[in-house]
Amino acid sequence: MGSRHHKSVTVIVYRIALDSFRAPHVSDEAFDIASTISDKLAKSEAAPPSDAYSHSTLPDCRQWKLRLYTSSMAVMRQTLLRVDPRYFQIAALGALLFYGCSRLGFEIDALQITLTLTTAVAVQLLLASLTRTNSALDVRSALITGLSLCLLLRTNIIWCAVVAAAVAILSKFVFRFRGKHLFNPANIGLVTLLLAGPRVAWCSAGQWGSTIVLTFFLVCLGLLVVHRARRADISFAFLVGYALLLFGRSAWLGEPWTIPWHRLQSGALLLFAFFMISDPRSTPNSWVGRLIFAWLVVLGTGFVQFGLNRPNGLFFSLALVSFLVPLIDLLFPAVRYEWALATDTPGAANRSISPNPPTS
Amino acid sequence: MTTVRLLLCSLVYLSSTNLHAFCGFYVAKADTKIFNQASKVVMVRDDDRTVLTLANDFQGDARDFAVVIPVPAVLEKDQIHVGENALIDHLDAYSAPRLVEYWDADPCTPPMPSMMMKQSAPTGGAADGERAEALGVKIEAQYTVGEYDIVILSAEQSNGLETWLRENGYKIPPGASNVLDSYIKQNLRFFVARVNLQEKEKLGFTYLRPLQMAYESSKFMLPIRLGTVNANGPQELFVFALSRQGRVETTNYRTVKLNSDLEVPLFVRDDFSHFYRSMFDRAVQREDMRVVFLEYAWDMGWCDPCAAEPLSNEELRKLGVFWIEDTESASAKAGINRAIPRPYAGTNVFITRFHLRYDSAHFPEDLAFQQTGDRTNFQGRYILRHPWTGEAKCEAARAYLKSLDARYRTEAENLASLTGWDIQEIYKKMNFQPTNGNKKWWQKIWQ
Repeated sequence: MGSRHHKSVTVIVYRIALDSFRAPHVSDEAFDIASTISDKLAKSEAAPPSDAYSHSTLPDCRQWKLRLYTSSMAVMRQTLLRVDPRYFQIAALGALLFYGCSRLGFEIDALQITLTLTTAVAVQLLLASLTRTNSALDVRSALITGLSLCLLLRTNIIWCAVVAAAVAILSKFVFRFRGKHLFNPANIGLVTLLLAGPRVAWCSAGQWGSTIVLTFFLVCLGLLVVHRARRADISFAFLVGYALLLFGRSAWLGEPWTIPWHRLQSGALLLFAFFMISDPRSTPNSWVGRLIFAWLVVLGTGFVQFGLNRPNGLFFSLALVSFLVPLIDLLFPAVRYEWALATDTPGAANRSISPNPPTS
Repeated sequence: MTTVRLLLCSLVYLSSTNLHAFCGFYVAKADTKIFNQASKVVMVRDDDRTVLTLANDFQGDARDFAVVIPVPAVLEKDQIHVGENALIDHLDAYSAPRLVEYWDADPCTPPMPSMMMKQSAPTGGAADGERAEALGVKIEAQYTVGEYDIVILSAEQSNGLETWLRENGYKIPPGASNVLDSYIKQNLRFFVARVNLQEKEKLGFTYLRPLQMAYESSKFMLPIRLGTVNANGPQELFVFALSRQGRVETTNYRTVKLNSDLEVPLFVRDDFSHFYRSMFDRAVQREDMRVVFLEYAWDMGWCDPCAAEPLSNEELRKLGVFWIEDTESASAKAGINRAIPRPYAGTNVFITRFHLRYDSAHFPEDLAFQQTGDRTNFQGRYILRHPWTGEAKCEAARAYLKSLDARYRTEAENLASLTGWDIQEIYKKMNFQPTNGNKKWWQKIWQ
């Protein structure tokens, strides 16, 4: 697809160059239309623009400029798609951590951040060399795990941060099933420490606040990252399921809608939905499996939060439901996710396979 | 019922007749209205064990007092106790924001994480059990503790509960029904208390003492929603959380530290309560009234500086710190005397003082808490620095006097930033006229 694009872009640029000598400048209105069309084009997997809009009533010269605009957008998008999505995740999590420390008063110091990240990367490299796997690539994953832990885990005992990071990375090498990780590394690191009690570690879910600005910011970042990692379905399934749970419960209790709405406007929730549950290496392969998985996590969260009245239901629930992933994969087989697939067209990982429901 | 005139006071005293004289920390007479819509709750918590103390300095006619509090379990008589106001005053004074080298007891008023109602006449004793049953209301228990008549109710639906309360002389405001319904479905019980005048007379107290209750529940929360029903504007709440492990924080709202450790002009000393109120107003405004403020987090074995002496073991135990005995015996074995506060020695009681202003729009759901292992100390502390006023006989002294100008200016700016007061007014009160010495040339043009 890429080479086809280059070709069409070359042709367009050439013709535009010729065209522009006799054409008036493109008006603002034309550019408005162009951006609309470019969005449509982008959605239709960046199809080459040749003759796609030949029926357009726009003057000829404008059409060409418009085509140049749309095709350059498509090229830019294709280029972006070739970048490993984990770079976006690292940038997004890093920005969140910076914002949290500088503006929201996160109770984490530079030492803990440094130790967590260093431990994650070091353990990753060590274990990768011991097991002779390709370690260089997974340093990015280790950084993501470390950053997630920095964002969520709070402790006053500095070595606990080290333990959490080590447990997280270790889990990737120990708890494996058919080449996949059983647990999301950051989640299992966090849960291990949380199980040790508040004396050891805790998660300050409330510290994100619920300002609409931050929510919006997180959604944007999250969407980008999810889009890149092809796991938008699980994030949205989870968020929709969780919203239904909260609104349903409030409807039953006769509470005002402001209550479930307030609970949804949580930075920790969005971080969980867009950066943790969407981890392609520890979620079911088929989209049916992922839906089931997401909704089981919702039910588990509801149980911990409202049944047991304990905080951090999200994380405990995800850890528990992760045990079911092998079973879900068995029932709904599909091709396993590889980061390498990320360079293909969106949906390729799913499109190449078809979910096979049990035939019994 | 016809003779009964009821008025909701909710978590706060709304009626002007109920203003309280603030004690302690707020020294000037003009300050008695500070935070006058405030409630105070002491929450002692370890594992699932909770002891709540609801401070009550209700100043009106005792017959007018009644309170409804959602509780997670049916409480036995032994689980309910009537405490002492002095304990809460002491705790308040100990944890209040402070000027260095200055202390006094506190302001605020009493609280109830619930709804307070006035009734003009008691209907005399408990309701008829059969009637209650017909309404789907079950009287789980009935006690007289101290000067209070207490009924613990469970209900099947809010209509029945509302009717029962109305028939027994309580007026439920419109809108409370929904909230009650939500608590009923969450399987909460209702703790309803009012004053037994005979007992009160017998005991000889001229004021109402705080109610205390001890229970075991996984729910670590404070129901504030009933208090926001029909409330006349935002309310003020102080929560003193005492835990064994460390700081307590809210899990569904942000906890933000109060601005602290800033130098302010000397005149603040004469008007500290005004300063504190303005500063809190401004902080609330800055955070759009959506956060819970942390005013104090400290190991209860010591303080520095002390706004009031740390509470004794006896006082702590009376407030419900049930594990303190164990410590004492352990300390005794180890030959440690906890009665003498030792800096940095540490005890196993940690206080977290929250201060929040809330209404139903900004705080839609009840406060949920969690314990953390964080034992980092924090206090709201403001610094007065008296300048040296001797004669400048050396170069160093001259340099010092010269530096004062910048310092005064910083102090004034701190104060203006903290409170939102006009800086020119502040300069005037300080008797200080900033020179233009440090200003850039363009800053002098349009003064």
